[in-house]
Amino acid sequence: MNPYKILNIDDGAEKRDVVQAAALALRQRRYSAREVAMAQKELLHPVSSAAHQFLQVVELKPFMERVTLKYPKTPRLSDLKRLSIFDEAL
Amino acid sequence: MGKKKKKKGIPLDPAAILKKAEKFFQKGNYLLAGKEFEKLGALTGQKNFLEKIEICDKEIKKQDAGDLLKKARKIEKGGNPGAAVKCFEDAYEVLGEDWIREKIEQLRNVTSVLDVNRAAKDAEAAGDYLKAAGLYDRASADHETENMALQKAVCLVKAEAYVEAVSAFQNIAVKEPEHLYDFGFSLTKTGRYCDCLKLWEDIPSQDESFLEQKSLVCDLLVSDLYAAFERREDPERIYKEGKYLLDAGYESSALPLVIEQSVFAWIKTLWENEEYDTIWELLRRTSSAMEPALLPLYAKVCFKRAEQSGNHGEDLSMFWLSAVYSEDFESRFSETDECEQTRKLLIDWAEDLIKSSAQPDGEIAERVLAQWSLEKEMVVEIRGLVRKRKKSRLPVLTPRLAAQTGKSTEFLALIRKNRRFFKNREDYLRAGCCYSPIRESFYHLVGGEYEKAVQTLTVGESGDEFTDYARGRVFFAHGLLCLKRGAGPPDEYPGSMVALFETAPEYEKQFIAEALDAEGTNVLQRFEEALMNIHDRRASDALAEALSLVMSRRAVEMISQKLINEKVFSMRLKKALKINPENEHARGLLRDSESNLEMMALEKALDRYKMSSACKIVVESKSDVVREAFFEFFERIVAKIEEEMSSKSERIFYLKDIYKWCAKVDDDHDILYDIEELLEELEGTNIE
Repeated sequence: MNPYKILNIDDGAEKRDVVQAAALALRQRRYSAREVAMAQKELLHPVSSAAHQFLQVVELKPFMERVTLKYPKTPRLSDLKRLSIFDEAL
Repeated sequence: MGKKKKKKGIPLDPAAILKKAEKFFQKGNYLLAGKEFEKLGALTGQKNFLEKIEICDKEIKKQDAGDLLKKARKIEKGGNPGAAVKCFEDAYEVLGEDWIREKIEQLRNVTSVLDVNRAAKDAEAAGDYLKAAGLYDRASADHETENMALQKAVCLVKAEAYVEAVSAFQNIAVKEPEHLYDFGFSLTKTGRYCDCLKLWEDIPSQDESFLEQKSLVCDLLVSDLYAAFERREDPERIYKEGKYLLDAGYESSALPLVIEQSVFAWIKTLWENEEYDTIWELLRRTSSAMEPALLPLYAKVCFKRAEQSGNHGEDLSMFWLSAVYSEDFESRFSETDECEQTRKLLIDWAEDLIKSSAQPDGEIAERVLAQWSLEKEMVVEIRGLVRKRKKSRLPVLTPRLAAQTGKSTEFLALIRKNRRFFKNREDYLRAGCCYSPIRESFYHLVGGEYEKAVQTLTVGESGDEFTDYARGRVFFAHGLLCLKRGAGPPDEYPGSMVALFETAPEYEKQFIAEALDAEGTNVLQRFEEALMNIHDRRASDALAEALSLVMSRRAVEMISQKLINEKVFSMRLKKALKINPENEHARGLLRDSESNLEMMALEKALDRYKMSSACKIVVESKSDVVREAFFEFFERIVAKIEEEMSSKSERIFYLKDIYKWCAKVDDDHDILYDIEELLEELEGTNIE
């Protein structure tokens, strides 16, 4: 179960946001009332909330640093001409 | 020479003409037959020959049509399908056969293709490639000839209509280098550089201009990937096409970095789409040596995969436990308690996941669960050890992850240095086993796969305590399995057991308990042999007691199945008692057995009237049963002596004889008084 998905919130949500999201989720009826209640309970409890934050969220920004790119010198595509070396076989 | 006189005025004979006409008709010469019939009609004025004349006319036309067909075929072979069509058409008018109509249609098609082809070639020669392409298209659409389709595609390339050329080529199986080139060129012109390069791989040409153009396309692809990367677009394509370039030997300093970062961007999308298997594949493919920073990602992906499929428990335990004991994990919490509780909860979740996967395949799940438990214990031990040795910069890793990341040796050194840290010697040895090269075998053992454990036993350094311990444990478990199945254990078994029992005496107790629980002659025999072999090398009291008891139990099983006789039974019991004189089981049995033997000997002696021998047996016997049997024998004789013997003197003689034998055994036995009374009655005097 991914409570963030059920409540449609991100991992930084405050307790108040969790409660509001649960109310909205109940109205939307995309998940059962039991699932919504369980998701809310999980995120309101500090230990299970921390566990879900570990399990459900992947932090990949640290792996995506800025790269300075040096483009190769290339001709304009329009300047690329068809070679006739293969025409003899045609 | 005189002129032949013309026969004039000779009247024609209708019968002769009819005969001649019929002869021609029969022979199929309808032309002459027709003429004769006409002649006959004119001569006789009869109309009944008209039918024959019509038949002849029809047949003549048919013959002409046949000639036309021959001519048409000849013309067709000569390469003039247009002229052939005319002949076939004329023949069809007469014969009306379907195949001729089909042939005409076929030739008309060919003619039309040739016409279009000619027109297309003319257009091509005039440099009007679009027109030529259109004509080829018409021809290929009508007649589905691949060659036309290829010609059309080539003309589209020449006409610089690249998008159309690509779609034209896509429907054809392109094989020839010239076509591969044109297809690839069109792809490049439509921005599909990587697809172009893949196609051009099959062109063997080493022409300089071609190689140069290929290199330019590579550069174009790199520029395109860089631009997409900067726009943060389509990381999957950047990864796949960039990797293709690198694998093809393209040299660039930034490209590997772009690919690596694109992988993570792609993983982000895949994670959102819950495509965990693809992420796993990517992770395994991209980083052979796992970076510590990636550990949580590996762990989470393993968890999600296990959750989705119910499998992959082995990967989960390897990464999950390492991740939740990592420094990175602990750094998330300011409170130690919260950290510990969260860790415990995460471990419970993973354990529940592994347990729940027991449904489809219980055996695998049980093995994975056993290995999970071992790794769980190990990480706790190692964490304690790492914390104690603050100087150590080692991360807490499960044994398998330590092996994968090349850190096993460091862990092993840490364990060796801190022997006293462990609660007992076995905990120390177990930890050492897990982080040493013998680990694979040990894991199989823990997972209950004893045969695999034996197969994967590596030859460690001689005298290495962890290797010896693992070998002992593996042989212990495997050997026990063999013994319980009634089979012989491996040759190394006794030696390994002695070493293991020295190191960890609880295994000796376990082995003894198993031996004492053994049932069945065969299994008891295997345990007896194994105990004997081990006892010869390590003569402990416990082993002696067990061996003695197993021997006496086996002897009982054997005699009850009549596999041995009383004498062998007794010998075996004596042997068991020699090993352990305190074996009450053997002692009691031996008593009974000896009594049985004496009884047998007594019966034999009495049957043969070897009274001296019988007396000797009873005197020497400690068995009351033997003694009673002896006196009962004589009591029966005494009771029957009056019936059996009529002569008084004979009775006296026998009674005196019996008295003598009985007195030899017990001079105060009641039978003696009875005999005395009888003798008194018979003799009237006391025999003494």
